[in-house]
Amino acid sequence: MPGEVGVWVLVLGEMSMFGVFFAIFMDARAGDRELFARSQQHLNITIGLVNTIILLASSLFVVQAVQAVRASGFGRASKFFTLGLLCGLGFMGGKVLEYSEKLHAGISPATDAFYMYYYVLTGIHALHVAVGMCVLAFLRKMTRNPARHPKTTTVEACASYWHMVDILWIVLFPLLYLI
Amino acid sequence: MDRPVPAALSHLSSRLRAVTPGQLVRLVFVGLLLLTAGSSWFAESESARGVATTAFIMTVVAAKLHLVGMHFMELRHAPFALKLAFHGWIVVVWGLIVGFS
Repeated sequence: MPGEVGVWVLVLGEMSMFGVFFAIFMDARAGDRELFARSQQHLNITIGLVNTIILLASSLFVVQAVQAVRASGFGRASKFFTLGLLCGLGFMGGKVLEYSEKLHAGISPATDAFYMYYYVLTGIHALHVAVGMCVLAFLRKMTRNPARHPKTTTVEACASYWHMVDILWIVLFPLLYLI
Repeated sequence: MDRPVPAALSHLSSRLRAVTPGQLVRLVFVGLLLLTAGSSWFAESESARGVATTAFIMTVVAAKLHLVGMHFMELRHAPFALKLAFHGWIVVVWGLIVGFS
């Protein structure tokens, strides 16, 4: 098993929690389809798409970092973790840009039900991205220190958390922007 | 009765077996990019947001989740129960989103 059992309990627990959020969102959408469709038109699909590509790239870098750790290439792993971290920063930058664009146009969580869900769901996800970035920064630091190289299982467990952040966005992007 | 494997198929199969883990994850990444671009283009070109459109987009999402789970999270090396829980979540999310559409 990649990583440790505890991490998979956390990952599946978080995924289940988001599953409930998706159901609540879809239930609210079913109650007022016209409003949700109208509000969705003001979302910037390009930013959402670029953010999806950024997170997919970050996941690739993290996989490559794990593979480098397994081959004892800690220097290479550190570079991949740096790239993953930069992708995380890029995602957060996109989110800040999107939020400021919306707030500038007078669109806030109080605007309507769609935007309340939009801010809450993307906000909780961004919080997970921030935690994931702290995890990547920790791995970057550990792989740069020749005296304290991390255990492979620790790296795998942390990587699984980062991939979960990617997985949640893979559902959130079409849920909010496309369907 | 065993049938002889065509030479082209046998060649493809041996080429796939020769793919290194590094090459495999890069291939998966390209596949994920193509699925993302394809489903976004499809969603933008479809003016009607019916159940069929949602079902198609969510099926692409399910394929992407499977690829990330099996190849990035390395669930292909995980016990059956973990693979089942992960894929069960994908099915439930697909069912919820398409069902409420």
